Amino acid sequence: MSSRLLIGRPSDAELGEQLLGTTWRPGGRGWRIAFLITGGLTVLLISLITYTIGTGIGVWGTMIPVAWAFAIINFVWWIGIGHAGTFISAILYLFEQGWRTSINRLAEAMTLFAVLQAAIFPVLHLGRPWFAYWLFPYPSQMEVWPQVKSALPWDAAAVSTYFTVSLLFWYLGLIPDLASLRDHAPTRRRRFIYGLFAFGWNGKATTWRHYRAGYLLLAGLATPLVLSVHSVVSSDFAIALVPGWHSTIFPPYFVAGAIFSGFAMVLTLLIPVRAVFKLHNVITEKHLENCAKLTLVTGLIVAYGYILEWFLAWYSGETAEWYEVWVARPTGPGLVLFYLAMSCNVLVPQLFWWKRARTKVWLLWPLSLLINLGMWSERFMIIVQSLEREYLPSMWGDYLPTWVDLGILLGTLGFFTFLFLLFLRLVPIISLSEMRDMKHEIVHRERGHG
Amino acid sequence: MADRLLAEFEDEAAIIAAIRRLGDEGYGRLEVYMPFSSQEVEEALALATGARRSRLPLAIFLFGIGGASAAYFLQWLLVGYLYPLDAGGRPPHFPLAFVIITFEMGVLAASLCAFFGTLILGRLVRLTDDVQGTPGFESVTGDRFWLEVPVRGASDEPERTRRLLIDAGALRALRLEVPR
Amino acid sequence: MTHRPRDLRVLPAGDPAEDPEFPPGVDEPPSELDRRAVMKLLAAGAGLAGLGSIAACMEAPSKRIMPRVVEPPELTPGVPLEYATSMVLDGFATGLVVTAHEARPTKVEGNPDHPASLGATNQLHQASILELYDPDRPRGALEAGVPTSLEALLRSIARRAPMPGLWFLLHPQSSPLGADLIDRVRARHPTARFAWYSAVDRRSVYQGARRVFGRPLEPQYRFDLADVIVSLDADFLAAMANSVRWSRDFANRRRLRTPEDRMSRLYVAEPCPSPTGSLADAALPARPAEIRTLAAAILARLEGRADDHALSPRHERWTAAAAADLRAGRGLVVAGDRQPAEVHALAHLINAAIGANGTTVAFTAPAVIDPLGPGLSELAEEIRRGGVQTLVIVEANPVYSAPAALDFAALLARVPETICSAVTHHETSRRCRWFIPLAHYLESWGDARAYDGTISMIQPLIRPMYQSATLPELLAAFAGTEQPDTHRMLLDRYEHGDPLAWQRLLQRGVVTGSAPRGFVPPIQLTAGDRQALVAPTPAEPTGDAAIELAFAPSHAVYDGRFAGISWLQEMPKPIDKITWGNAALLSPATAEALGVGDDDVVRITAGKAQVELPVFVVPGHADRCATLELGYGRWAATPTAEGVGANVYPLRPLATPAYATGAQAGVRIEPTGRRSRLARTQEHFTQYGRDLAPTADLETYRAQPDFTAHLWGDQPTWLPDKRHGTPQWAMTIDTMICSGCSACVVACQAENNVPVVGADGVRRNREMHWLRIDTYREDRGDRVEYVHQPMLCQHCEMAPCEYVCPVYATQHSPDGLNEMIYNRCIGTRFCSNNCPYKVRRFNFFDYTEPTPAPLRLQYNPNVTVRARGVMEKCTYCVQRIRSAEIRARKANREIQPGEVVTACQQACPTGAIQFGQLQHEGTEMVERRKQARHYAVLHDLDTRPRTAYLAKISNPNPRLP
Repeated sequence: MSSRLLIGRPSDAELGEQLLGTTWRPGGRGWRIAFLITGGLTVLLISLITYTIGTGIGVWGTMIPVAWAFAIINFVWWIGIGHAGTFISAILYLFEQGWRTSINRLAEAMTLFAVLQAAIFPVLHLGRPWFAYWLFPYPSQMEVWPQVKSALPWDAAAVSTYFTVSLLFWYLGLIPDLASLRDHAPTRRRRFIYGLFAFGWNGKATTWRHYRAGYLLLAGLATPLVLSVHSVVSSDFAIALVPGWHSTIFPPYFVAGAIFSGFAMVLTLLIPVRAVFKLHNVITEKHLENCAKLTLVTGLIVAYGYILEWFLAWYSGETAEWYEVWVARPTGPGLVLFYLAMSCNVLVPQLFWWKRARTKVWLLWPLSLLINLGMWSERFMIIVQSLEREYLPSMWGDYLPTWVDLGILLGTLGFFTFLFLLFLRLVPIISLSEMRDMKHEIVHRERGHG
Repeated sequence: MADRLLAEFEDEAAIIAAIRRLGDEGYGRLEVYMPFSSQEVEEALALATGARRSRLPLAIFLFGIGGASAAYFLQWLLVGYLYPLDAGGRPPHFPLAFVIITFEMGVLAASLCAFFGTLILGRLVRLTDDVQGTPGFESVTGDRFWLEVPVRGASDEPERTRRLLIDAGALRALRLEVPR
Repeated sequence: MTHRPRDLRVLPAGDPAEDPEFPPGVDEPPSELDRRAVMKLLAAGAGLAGLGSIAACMEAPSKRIMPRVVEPPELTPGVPLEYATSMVLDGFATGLVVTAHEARPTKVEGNPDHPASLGATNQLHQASILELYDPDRPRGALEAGVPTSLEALLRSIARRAPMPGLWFLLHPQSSPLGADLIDRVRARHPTARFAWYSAVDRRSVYQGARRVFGRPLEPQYRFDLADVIVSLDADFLAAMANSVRWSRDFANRRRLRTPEDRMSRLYVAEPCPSPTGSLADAALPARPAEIRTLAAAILARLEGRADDHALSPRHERWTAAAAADLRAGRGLVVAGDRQPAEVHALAHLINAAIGANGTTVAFTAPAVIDPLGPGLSELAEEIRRGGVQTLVIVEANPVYSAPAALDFAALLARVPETICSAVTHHETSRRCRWFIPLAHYLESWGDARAYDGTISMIQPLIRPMYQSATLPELLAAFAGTEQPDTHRMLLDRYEHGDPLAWQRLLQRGVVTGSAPRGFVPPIQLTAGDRQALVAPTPAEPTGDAAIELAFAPSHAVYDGRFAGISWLQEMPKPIDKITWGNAALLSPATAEALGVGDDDVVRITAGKAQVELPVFVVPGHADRCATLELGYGRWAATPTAEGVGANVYPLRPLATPAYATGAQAGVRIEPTGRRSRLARTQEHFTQYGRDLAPTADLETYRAQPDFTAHLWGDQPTWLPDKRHGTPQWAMTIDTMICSGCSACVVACQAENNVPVVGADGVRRNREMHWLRIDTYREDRGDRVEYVHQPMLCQHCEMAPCEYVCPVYATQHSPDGLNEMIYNRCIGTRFCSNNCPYKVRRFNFFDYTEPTPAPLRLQYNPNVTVRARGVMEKCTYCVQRIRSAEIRARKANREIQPGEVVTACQQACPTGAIQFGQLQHEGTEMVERRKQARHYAVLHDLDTRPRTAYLAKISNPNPRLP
């Protein structure tokens, strides 16, 4: 199988040229336009955030009963997308899945930027964002402390930990390549700057020894995070008694959904990158297929989650719960997004039973987009539709977003892409040292056979 | 402190051979620089110089435990002991609710230790070092392997070692002046 | 000195000019700096301190903030005082006790010593205080829109020679002082005529009485003595002159303590369910014009005559049952104010027939002066004849509210000299040459009679905010007094050289024993006249074309005179929960026939007049009939009032101002195809099979008293019990006697500085009311059963909102309150999501900052004004609890039962809301919690609410399906 992960047997030098080259080969007009658009959207995001903080979150569609809407949906959605990165780089690393090598850095970068988008919202959605730091225990003369029985401090802890660990893990993996860039980048300026970030890496065997140990353990530590972060996020809902939220299946259900959407996003990004940088030899159909397979698996878990939700709603005998899941969602105000979620998250992945759908990019890419859309709709379904129809019919209310809500969502998409483009231009998209490592293993194995 | 020789090698096989050879010749304290972490080379080196496994994991473990217990203690202290306010009738000391932050902080502490531990033990908190200036040494992050051999004793010793390295397969061997 | 709750203090008499009762600042125009502005200036000054200009900055404003002047002996800063006064509505006084902080009136309560209040109030009384501080009140007298001196104007009036063609147009008046003055005016201007006009006309009541008893009389009902009450389109619990008192009486007969207790049975026939109708045991949808037939039919049955009235089977059944019950038990029939004289006459005859007269009904001379005196039509007639030289209009607003056919605006233009006096400008005042600002009742002296005739005193709480005159002063000027002073006139009338008696009078607020005794006059009815009465009405044309319009004074803005009060505009109306506007209320069948639904705009035509209104469908509404609320669509009033809803006054026919039958006015309703979303606070009125507000009829209740057993009691939990130690506060609400009148909603708003969010805010579900009234209705075959459930923070012992707050901004106090710490709140809104009762309200914008300066004077200083981005909710009026604790601690005693009364409880006319400590055995609150029919809303969530409810028990006639 490993042979299909690398097409041709480039020498280390060729490999280096191909993978490092992405950082200094001049980008054409296309790049400038891409940066212009995404940069514009980033500016939009910043101005809308300013507007919101200046005027009050009344400029959003939130209201009573639907006090959480787009902000929290976006938060959960972005965090979820992050998961695939950590999953690939950590879990697949522990399981020694060779195919992770050529996509893990890209996936990790995606994680970082996604979590960055997510991190905007818990603060921004507050009525008084300037007091967000009250969630952390700092010695204040008010002598009041966070109330850690609430799920929100858990969130704060989980998300900040998650971001930190992902960043460290990503950077640790980057160091040897930064060193290569220091030694091989064309201009002196680049060499100097990369040199700063390379920490003076010189490939000494003892350094490698500690490095491997550290990297392995960091992977080991990141692994439980993949499972814990979204479990914690899900507890924002699970510990509440809102019908449609108050459910014990949420943690696994959310984690599966997260990895599901994450892999979809990996495909969404991987396919264009592969085409633009002509990386077909290192990012082969095999990689895409594996991602698609994992999407299918997690997609099935998500579907199972839905089924269980319906079953439990009926089995619990709780009227409000039953009404929520069986009536409000399929027939209530937001029914469009309900059916969107169902079709994109349950039906679309089933296409991946079919090999062509897993390997042909012209099919795979649009499908990955649909899944992203579907997962956003699912979060809308869970968060907004549940709040719209709670216990007291007298206080049922229908939610409508404002242009600010939509603008902010669009803005985060732009900001995310902007950061990702920067990443593509500044550091090797694929871990050179690990690729070399893998290549040598392959060569050895082949020698062993031959 | 005596001078050192730096020898560049074509690939893993070559440098492994050289390491074995120098090992037999009784050279200790060899050091290898390589573009990627090659198991074979490290094994050869370990045989030759008896290098030990990294101690990092132990430190990480201790930090993890420390972070977790500190987090739990803090939570108990703040909401369980110092300010036992009534929130929804939950008891002030509520282990169930403390678990998550405890866990997260444990992971955080361990991860920080793993990262910075690697930098410190790997001597990576610096801009450059004495071998980096060596002409052509940048190939170490390319596709070449370098071997560092300390030389001591008689004045002809360095020259002898250099020849030894060359016919052990080194592309070239340079004498590294140590500024005194 | 400590503050006693019922401490009605004397206002020192004398010239208010040097009266220290009113510190400078309270009567400053809003352009002056208020305290907040001063603080800002000071901050700026501090910023400039480095430049050494701090002193300069500090001086300028410090003159303007309210300094601690030499107070009158009874005024201690921080200790609120309460004064007895009265509010007069169309001549009928309701005794009030008004709280003043540092001489700022802040809160209106009922006067327990007053027969029309008994300590309770309605939504209008509660909100009236806001009119006092209305930023758009005129600052002084005007001549043709140009400011002029009020003194000079009054002096010139006083000096006028007898004026020919002098007419006055006033609201109905009952003031004894006013009566004298009117005589004095007539003495000076022999030809002066007084016309009485209110858009809500009660003449038919007196005409009805005159027809039966030969003279106009005021019926005095005893709802507490009646076993069977038949209301003929009479909303006697919410919309009639004495409703506050009647609500209490009615409730006393409905408040079941044990299943064995007897309760009255209420029959209501009306076009649109009213608060009264929502409590009916046998509600009958009937078009206004059908009421007379029903009355006649009942009378016929009682007199054993052959019933020759063409009644639908349903009406047949209803009248039969009603008549039978009336005969059996102690009965009482009430006719609605808007019904024609015949119906009132028939009601009197029925009461006579069942011997109610003398038991449940007595009669007194009307409290109002000249009840059947000239009205708008006489005035119009006179103007047409050109007989009116000078027209003095006080308060009345005929330009806005007169029927279109009258075209009063044009008539007004024909009067050479027009003088108008009103508290705020209105459509009529803007068309008059002279404008004299009228003093708000909270800043004027005066007297008036209550519905039962009791004389009630009106004393000012504050020196007039702006240049203004009272009605007596105005009349006195016309009577020739150059510097009229109501206070002096009152002294002349009531002091009798005994200052102490005068003081006691002001303290009590009422002249004890001044109510005339009720009597039963002999029936003086010629046979022919009687025949005409009981004769069947000519069957009016049926068919879908013929549709009838029923006009009702708005429950919120009355006839439109309160449209400038934002609290009332935003108050959800009891049945439809509509705020900020009016709708065409239709029955489901009629709406279907017209092919319209909620929010569809229809064009309503009556004669030449046309009005467009959105539809709202009300189950239980009479078919082929539309109910239209008066009082909206003001076009030349204050900004708050203008352009809210549509003005339906033009649709009113001259003959029958209260309703328009299809035949008589050619009424048409047609869809326009447009939609306009009404601002409703409740969209879903059914319980969707959830046992949220259980109800039962008396039989079921007696058979199974604990039918709510599954809705109370603790469920197993490992969390600690919290009912021990310290006082434990709790509330009980009896849904059985809640008519949904919403006085509590406004009272809460007034007490707790609750902001108003406007129509769009309401449409986006962002209303801020801490207390709302959830209304659920259930279609039971051909009758719709309503249940009102006042919903406020339940103060759960295991509050779901508390454990999700990440910063302890909401937590539980040892005495069982769910506390909200505003300045700790960061606004995650998790608590709101997790509150199954959805009683938490969020400041999505800065709602309080834009409040204009004079309105801020109303703020209750004991309640934090909330900032943007924080959550807020009902606190069980914690400020009242804490001040009671302080009083008790100072007196070194325990808090007494009934010492702490929440704002909603205090306002509630029926006493449905009870508050107190669980430890106080024997109090109404605790006793109710022990009743079998009590329940906890959403009990199965085991949030353990501290607010317990009592299930609604209805008493339907078993013979009626």
